[in-house]
Amino acid sequence: MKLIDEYEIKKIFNLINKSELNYILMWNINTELPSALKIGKDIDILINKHDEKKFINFFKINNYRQINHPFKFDVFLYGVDKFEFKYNNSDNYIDFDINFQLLVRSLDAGQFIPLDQLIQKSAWQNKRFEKLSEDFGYWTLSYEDEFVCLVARSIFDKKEFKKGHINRINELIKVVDRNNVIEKLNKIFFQYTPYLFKLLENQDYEEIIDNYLQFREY
Amino acid sequence: MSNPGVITLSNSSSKKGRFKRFAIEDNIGESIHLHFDNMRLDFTIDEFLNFSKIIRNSLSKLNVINGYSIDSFDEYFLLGCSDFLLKLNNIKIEEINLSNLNCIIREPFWRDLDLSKLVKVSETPSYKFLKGKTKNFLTYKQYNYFGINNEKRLLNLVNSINHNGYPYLNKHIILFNNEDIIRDGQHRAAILAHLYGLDHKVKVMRFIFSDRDNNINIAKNNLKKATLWFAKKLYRKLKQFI
Repeated sequence: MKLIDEYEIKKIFNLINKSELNYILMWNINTELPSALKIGKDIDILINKHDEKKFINFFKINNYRQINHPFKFDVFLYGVDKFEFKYNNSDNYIDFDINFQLLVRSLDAGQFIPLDQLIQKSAWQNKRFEKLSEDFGYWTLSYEDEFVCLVARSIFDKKEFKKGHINRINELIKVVDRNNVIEKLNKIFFQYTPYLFKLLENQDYEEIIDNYLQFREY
Repeated sequence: MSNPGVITLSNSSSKKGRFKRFAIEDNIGESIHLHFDNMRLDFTIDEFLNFSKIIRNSLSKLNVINGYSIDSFDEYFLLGCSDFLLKLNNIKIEEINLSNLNCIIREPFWRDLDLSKLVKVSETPSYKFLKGKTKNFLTYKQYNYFGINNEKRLLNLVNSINHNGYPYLNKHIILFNNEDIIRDGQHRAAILAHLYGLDHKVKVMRFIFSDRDNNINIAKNNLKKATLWFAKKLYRKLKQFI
């Protein structure tokens, strides 16, 4: 599988950073950015809905074309700002997937549902700049918010804990503020949260999804 | 606060019905919700199971299925035919040869449009799967309870019939009026045909209604479905230009 040119990734991120556009790279699993991103994989970024026009202009100036998002006709609940487009550069194959909220798919019909407001606000309030090298860095989620999002995404979107996600969750669990994470997980998993956190601490990833679906102490 | 861990246990919402929204959802870790138009009742799991028991007892006393217990039927089937039950005159138990039964299956017609078709038991995806002829059944679209896939559902039923026989708990294959079309129990028919042969005679339950409103008209149903499918596609295309 061919990789996207590292230089092109660094270039576009340096341009976004210089433009002072407000964005958050949602994750960088297996440190794919900047040098190991396969062609065809998109880059998920979070932006504010009111900044959408600025981003459209930014992508247009940099030769990215607007293409229909494959999920544009899916169901978006609870006032989620639906995403209709992706931004793709056919010269360097970089593909940006723009999200306006942190979302997961619901368990039954797979509708897009926003994570709780507490987590949405925290994403912007606590974002941090990750400098991977002298010439490459990006704005991303705090360790706590990244941890919460990766767990939620594994359970609801992927319906499994993939190796890359497990490795990153294992790294993060050592550095996160436990109370902060538990408060946020509570907004998603409610009374299952203490059981979930214990399984995560014990790295019982294979148990989690079945255990969650069978949980009945509420 | 939204709970993404929601599983719809049942939904009989209908724009034309008495209640526009009537749905039961399990919000994992939180509570069971019964949505009733603009109202919502919250239950713990224990409370909901107790409530469900009370409803079952009430339905038995109301005798909505001609003296039969609702435990003799699949809940999903009862939900599907609940609109017709008021017109139910009689239920007959009779024997019929499996080869005389017809089944409704769906087949891909064009792109994501599936249309219905009447076939014999030997042509159903589940029978072909049991005979090892095709694996199409694994991806066949059908309603399953949450967390159960087609294969697991069928093999659980094979085990049940092997251990408990048929009809277990008085749960029969069900036909309506004078039609020999299976309305509930297609998997059971396929398994019985697989185990005992297509010429095997089985007991079936025939619901006799006061009218023929629920008789099957495959061509009419397919035309309606294809028209709706086309209208939706056209709407989406037009929406792109508005």
